Amino acid sequence: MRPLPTHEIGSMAKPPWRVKPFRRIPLDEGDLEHAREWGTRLDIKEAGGLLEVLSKRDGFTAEEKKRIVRFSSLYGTRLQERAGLDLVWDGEQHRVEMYEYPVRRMGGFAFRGHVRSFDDKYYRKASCVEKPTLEAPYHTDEYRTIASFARREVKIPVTGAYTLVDWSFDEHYQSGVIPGARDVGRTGREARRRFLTDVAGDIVYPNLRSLHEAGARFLQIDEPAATTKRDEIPEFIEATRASVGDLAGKAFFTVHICFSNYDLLFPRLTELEGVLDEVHLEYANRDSREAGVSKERRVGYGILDSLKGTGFTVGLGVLDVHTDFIEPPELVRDRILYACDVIGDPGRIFVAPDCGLRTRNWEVTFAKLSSMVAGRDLAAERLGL
Amino acid sequence: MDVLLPGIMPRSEGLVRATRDFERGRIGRPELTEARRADVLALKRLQEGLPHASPGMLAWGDLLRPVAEIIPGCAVGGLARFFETNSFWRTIEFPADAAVDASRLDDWVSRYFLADGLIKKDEGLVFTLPFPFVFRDFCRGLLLPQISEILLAAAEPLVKLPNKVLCLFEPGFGYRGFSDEDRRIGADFIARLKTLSPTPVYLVSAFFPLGDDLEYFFGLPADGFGVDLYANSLDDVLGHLPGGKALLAGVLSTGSTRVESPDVLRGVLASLRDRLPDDKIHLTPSGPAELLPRAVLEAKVTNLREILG
Repeated sequence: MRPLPTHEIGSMAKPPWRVKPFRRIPLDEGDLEHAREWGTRLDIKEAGGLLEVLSKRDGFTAEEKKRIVRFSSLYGTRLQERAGLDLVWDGEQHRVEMYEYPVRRMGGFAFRGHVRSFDDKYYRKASCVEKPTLEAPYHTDEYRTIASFARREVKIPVTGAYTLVDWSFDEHYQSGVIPGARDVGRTGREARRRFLTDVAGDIVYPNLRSLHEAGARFLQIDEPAATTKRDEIPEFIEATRASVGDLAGKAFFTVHICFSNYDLLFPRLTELEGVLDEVHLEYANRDSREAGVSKERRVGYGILDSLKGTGFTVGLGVLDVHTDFIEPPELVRDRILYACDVIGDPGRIFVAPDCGLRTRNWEVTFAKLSSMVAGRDLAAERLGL
Repeated sequence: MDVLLPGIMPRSEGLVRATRDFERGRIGRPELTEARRADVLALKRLQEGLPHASPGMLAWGDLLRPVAEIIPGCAVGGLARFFETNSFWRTIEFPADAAVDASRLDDWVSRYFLADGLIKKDEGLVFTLPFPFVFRDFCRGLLLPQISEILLAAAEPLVKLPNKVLCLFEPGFGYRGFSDEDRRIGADFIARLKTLSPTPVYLVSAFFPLGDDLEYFFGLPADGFGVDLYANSLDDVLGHLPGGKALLAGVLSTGSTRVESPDVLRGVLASLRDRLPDDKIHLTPSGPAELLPRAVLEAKVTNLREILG
């Protein structure tokens, strides 16, 4: 790979021709034009096959929907390749999203209804009703599909144990907790640990192992919830250790954490040296948009001071995923140069967006990722790499 | 002994759908209003016979947002995580001279506390407002003394309505670490609120062991105290609860969708009755009820009411 390798983090938006058939909404001419235009822009030789499937516009069979997902995966992967990323995948084209998709593929969970996240936004929340089980790894076929047409190294994200547990209710492990009991705090905490241990060992580890056995060399554990509870960093660390298990050193493991208080991670995060290779955090969201390499300009990158003395590769978020603002290459360059200066070793820097880009349309996503790669190239040139 | 549901109630699946459809332009305001009205009526049925029922607060974005509507010059800002949950409140930017516009209060009370007039003013109701500390967590531009003044002005028309109780919600106890000056202002706020009317004022905590805040919390001049019994032991709570004060016992877990075992609940109720008179016991969710899906909350409340007979 080139110096300062670039990668996407998680999701991208799904094209309308991928979404509508599953909602039983007929496709219109604009949807077909989207497939046609991006097929041309991404130089997808197989685009004619997609347009042939889509020409039906409505009433797609299960087999046709499967083909549409595969095309969507191909388009997503090609978009990342065309933008110039070094590590690619399809941007979650196979999945609904990062929580419901895996939970629906496990035993031991039941969805209980919607809970508000904020405003009039909700998420469907499941409850653990018995010990979680895994009938079969749920990302391996997806990896094989992407690897079959990817022209670059493939990286697969897997939702981490701590996040799966924290975003779920628990009717099983907590069933012995008695309100007001003398030991209510201790029993609740022990129940939580058992839940985490089982999800890490029986769900996440087999998925990672299966991906590794299928040939995946870059595996990302998504843990946006890792720093939600300030007293549970040890539990997060233990769950991560159990999730990776004897695969440590056999693949390149990234953990992705975002939009929270990273100070909580230190110093205990270093216990995962030798287990994790890359620690990717969101930074650009908290940074200024002014170019420059001073500490004052790079206000969003303060946590690098804590990562400096660790053995981790630094996954550097350089794109704010919550805005259509296209970060100029010079801004990306300066964010990278600042990080290289703090960390002291460009070989420890990987470059990425802050998080998944699913809330941006493909036009914006492509422009942002392309600009990121251009910024990386400028930084590499400046550093003589 | 009764059931009391402070705070914002979860929306039914129908109202969830309606708010989504409204946001995406698939239905108009009349349909949304009708969905909300149906939800308020369902909540009334769930609480039928309770001395103080929750109005649902189904139009609230979060516990702070409606307050911005009675203060000219406020701007609703970005999202901030609501303590250690996967839900978020919006921060509010206040002007330096922020003050409640009294002319807005009548409409505000009707809209946010009486479900747009669906609930009569004299019905037995539990109202909820944020305590000044949690208000400060999610606001920009105001200091604690100003926040206290704003909340006193907002609370006045509420506590002057007949047949009400007012809950002040504060999840920061045992978690944030408050200064001596904070503590003085917090105590003064409740004391001044108590001078406005005889309406009972309850201080409701959530999520965390009260720990070092136990003495301060139970020493505040409120009429009752809400405690999460999944984070605190009854021994600690009853050992500190002052005589004559009510306990809002958080026995319905908002962290689990499991409907509580009748045997377990009966055991807790027996322990409470050993130490407190019935009229000082209110059974509540352990935290914000809206963290549960609506059907689960309904099942838990129904179960608890059946046990109470």
